[in-house]
Amino acid sequence: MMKNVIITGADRGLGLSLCKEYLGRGYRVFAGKYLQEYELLEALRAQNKNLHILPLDVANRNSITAARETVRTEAGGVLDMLISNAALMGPVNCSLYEPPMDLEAVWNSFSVNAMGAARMVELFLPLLDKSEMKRLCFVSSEVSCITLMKTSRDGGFPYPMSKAALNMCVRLMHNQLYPQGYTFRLYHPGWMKRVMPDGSRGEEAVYDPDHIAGHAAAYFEASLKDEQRLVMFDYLGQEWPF
Amino acid sequence: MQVVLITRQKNPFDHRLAQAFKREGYRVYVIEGDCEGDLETTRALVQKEAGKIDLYVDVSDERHIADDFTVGHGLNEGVMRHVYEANVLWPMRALETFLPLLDAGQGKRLCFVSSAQASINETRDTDGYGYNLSKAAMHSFFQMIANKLTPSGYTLRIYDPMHREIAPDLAAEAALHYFVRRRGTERQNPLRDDETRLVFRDALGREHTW
Ligand SMILES: NC(=O)c1ccc[n+]([C@@H]2O[C@H](COP(=O)([O-])OP(=O)(O)OC[C@H]3O[C@@H](n4cnc5c(N)ncnc54)[C@H](OP(=O)(O)O)[C@@H]3O)[C@@H](O)[C@H]2O)c1
Repeated sequence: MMKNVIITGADRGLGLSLCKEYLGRGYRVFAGKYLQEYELLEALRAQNKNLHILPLDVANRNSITAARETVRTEAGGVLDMLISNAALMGPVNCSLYEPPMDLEAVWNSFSVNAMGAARMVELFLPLLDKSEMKRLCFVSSEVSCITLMKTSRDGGFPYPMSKAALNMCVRLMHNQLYPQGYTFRLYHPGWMKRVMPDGSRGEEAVYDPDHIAGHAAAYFEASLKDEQRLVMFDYLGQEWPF
Repeated sequence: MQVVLITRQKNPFDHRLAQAFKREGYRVYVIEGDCEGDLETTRALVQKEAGKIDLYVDVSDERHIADDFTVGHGLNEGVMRHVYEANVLWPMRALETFLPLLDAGQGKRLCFVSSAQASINETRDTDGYGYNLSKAAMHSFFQMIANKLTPSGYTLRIYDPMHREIAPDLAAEAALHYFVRRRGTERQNPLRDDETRLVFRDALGREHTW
């Protein structure tokens, strides 16, 4: 039977590359579309009818609920894998010595990057419960790692704070849901190039999201021997502390 | 005279800590926890009377009775927002407000209350999304401000007073000792100084991981 996966923030970047990967692996892919100005998903859909594009804002419960009802209909009520990839990352003014700090940005990052993941799991749980696989995957970041954070990122507090909160959120879910048969992946993808509306890549950064997606997709899909452990794993196959 | 500011005083531990500082001869300013308080008013008062802060103790530790939902039962987003504002947004605004006074002081010590319950490594909770996520975000913030401020002489203490687990008197005395002393320079090797490492310790002296 065809497996079903949903990927949030799939307009471009890692989310889009993961869609391509899972289509290649024979999945029915539900891609969360957030950006109006990007049409890369539509181009992919023209090549592969197993791609379903859903409007999806992970900060909005109504949007997630509507997406879930579409998935319920199109996927026969079963979701096998959820990949929480959407993130708010833009520059913000949050420097200690340049008051006032933009605290609304701190909240918005938290609401999308940490709570967004929790909302997705909460609202898709009825469909995930019906699957054998029950795989929950979360794209985090090295900046979530409190132990190894060596910079102040002055002005950029919100994003690392939100990713640390995401890791805690995944821990609480793991404590509850692992005993119920769920398995978890927490992933740091490395420094990836930005994808432009025409599909070209930005100059900055090291890795192409397509390359990272190959590694991530294999890791997300694999069965591991030590599923009881929650670890943050990176694109080089290394584990990170929290 | 050394000046200490304790913000968001609310729990028995917080009151005992203020008393302990007074007993030791500190000049103590307090922001009460139940009055969200006009930060600017307190800042102006401390500026006028003392002109500096040496020790900054933020005891913000908001918990909510309805923060007992799991992801399976459904998130209470109102509770999460309330707790996040109290444990994250208010403390960030407060630190920003008092930083110029801390810059003017000699002590340059920042102390914050947290809980080992909110250690990503250690927590066994399945609920507490409001509290645990807010504190995890703050732990990340502490590490970043430590990186920012230690080059200008600041040191930090992250402390779990073990509310409701041990007597507030004991926790306050342990906190006083821990907050004011200098931590971990090796006598044989003065270049090796544990102060530059951010440490999370509880009232029984145990170190916790993040
Ligand atoms: N790029 C890196 O170097 C890097 C490094 C470490 C970790 N990561 C993580 O990897 C993941 C993918 O990164 P990427 O580089 O592929 O980023 P990206 O190209 O910016 O993709 C993330 C997508 O999520 C969208 N999004 C923002 N808010 C949303 C919401 N409320 N609902 C749904 N979608 C929303 C973004 O839209 P907007 O552009 O409008 O915000 C964007 O399209 C993220 O979780 C990121 O934190 C990236």
